[in-house]
Amino acid sequence: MAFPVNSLPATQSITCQNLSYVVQSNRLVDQLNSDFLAGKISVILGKNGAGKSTLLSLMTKELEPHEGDVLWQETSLSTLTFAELAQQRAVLPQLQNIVFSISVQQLIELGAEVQKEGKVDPQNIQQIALEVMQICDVTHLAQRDVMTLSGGEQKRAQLARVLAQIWPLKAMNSHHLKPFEGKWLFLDEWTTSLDLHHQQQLSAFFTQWAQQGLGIIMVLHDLNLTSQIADNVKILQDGKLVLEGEPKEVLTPHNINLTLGLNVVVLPLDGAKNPMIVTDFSHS
Amino acid sequence: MNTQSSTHIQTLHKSNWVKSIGFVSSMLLLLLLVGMMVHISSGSLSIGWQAYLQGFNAQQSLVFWELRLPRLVVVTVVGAGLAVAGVALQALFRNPLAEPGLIGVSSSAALGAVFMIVLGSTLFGSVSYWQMSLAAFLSAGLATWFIYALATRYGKTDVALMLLAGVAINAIAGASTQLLISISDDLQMRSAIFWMMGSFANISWPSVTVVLVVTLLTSVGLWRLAKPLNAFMLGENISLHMGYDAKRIKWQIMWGSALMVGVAVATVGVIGFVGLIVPHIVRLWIGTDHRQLIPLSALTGAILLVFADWVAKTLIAPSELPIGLFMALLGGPFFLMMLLQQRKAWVK
Repeated sequence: MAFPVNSLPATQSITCQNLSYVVQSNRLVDQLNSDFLAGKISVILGKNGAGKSTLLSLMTKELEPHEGDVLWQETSLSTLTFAELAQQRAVLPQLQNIVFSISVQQLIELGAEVQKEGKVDPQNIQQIALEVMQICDVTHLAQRDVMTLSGGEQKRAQLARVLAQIWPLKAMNSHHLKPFEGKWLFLDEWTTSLDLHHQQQLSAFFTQWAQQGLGIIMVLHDLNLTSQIADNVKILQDGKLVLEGEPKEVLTPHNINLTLGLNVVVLPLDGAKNPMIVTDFSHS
Repeated sequence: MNTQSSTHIQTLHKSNWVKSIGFVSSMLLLLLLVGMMVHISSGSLSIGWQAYLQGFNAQQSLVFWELRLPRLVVVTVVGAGLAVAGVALQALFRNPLAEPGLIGVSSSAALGAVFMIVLGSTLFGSVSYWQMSLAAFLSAGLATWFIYALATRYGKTDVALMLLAGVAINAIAGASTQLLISISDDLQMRSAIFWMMGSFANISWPSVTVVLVVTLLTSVGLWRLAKPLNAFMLGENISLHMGYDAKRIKWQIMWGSALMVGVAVATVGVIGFVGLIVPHIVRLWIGTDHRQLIPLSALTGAILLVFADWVAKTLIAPSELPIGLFMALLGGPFFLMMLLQQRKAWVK
């Protein structure tokens, strides 16, 4: 099925304009300009300390920039309240620690309750919880105390909570083409401690949701995964955006070596849009 | 995937009537009523049930209206307030060991109050209960803010640092209180010491009204913050992501709990461990959702202190055990038990 391009709404995006964040004269993010498009998967790459998480925090309003601005679909982020933002985007931070006992289901319901500024009816909350639990494969853990789960299970439970915050109400069953329109998902190293099976499953979901309108912005270290799922790759170095574009263009052995300090082999993959990227240990 | 959903929805909600909120709250209310009846009918003067129906004689009337009832109301309210303050501080510090007594908030409030008793009378002429409450509230708030600033970085609390800072503040506040007492005259000294041990013995109706109104309003205020508190418990950054203004909520928790601790301390002195024991038990029973945790902790705190005060006033009758002392005897071992539990969690 083809859709006429001009019937789609104007491209929505989050735009970083000359964005800087300074801590003790270290420019963690340095005069960064970039666009993050709705309905696309943008992957931010970079070495440790390159400013990836800081950039994410600036875009989620967790931190205030010292210079520049973030335009949230053409509105300055500083004029939006946390309550307004929470209706449009959900964030999975790099680290989460649960210190009080809470069941997986309760945790996820806390996420779902955020929708409609807290005015979701209980049935919908349950329905949302049910759906995201299946997506993240934690249904069998629903009544377990999150503190007793393994690292990967906790990650999936937290991801389910995050998804519940922006999960379209009943839209999955309707014929709405873009149920995720206007929603954004920020993921900081979501693959950490997840097994490969779940990484693959969730990657497929992310790709599907992006096509349904969800803007996904993630920080990753896995180059091969990036090559497979990213629509747009941005590489940071010392707080500066040094490369950006489609994975095929950006993720060349030369670029990767230069910016990430890594020797790789890029292997074209039959049937896949983008090549496979494998670490090359013979040159190190 | 969709075919499974209908079968799963039933298994998701295991209805457990022992943990249902209706059952829990009615049990607690019943227990509180029993406690209040036991409490009010105990004392050296016996007031038989006939007297309640046929009317008190002059002596009974005085004892009931001027001694027993105000004391019972204050016990109930202070118990509830300290428990809710504990819940709030624990959400703020994201740790079940954050308790007004342990982290030095209560002793700072006491310092503020003693400061008023000893110096206030020289500075302002006479000291009112209001001034004592205000001083206790301000110093409790400052102590909370100080410990939070010290022990929490980037939304994460260093538990050891929090408890050690509490030790230091307790030491400083305690020594300063002693110093103030040692320079005070006989009368001031008596009232300060008596009151520091935590006692419900001398309570007037005006102070009852203040502690009642303040605790009620603040508890309801914190209860209305239940959702942000739930989010805050997951992490300060996560509460931001979920749409709550974390900075504002932190201030509300800090000063809300300081208000209740301050007014409680100004009324009856330092009573520790209520805010530790009660939330812990209630969490084990009904979980961590603050929408339930706050009201049920208030009820449980009231019950605990009503019974504790009953024991304190009857155990060695006709003389009385200071309630603060009694609660420390009860709470100390409980605290150790919780430490052992935390150690297990760390080892894991």
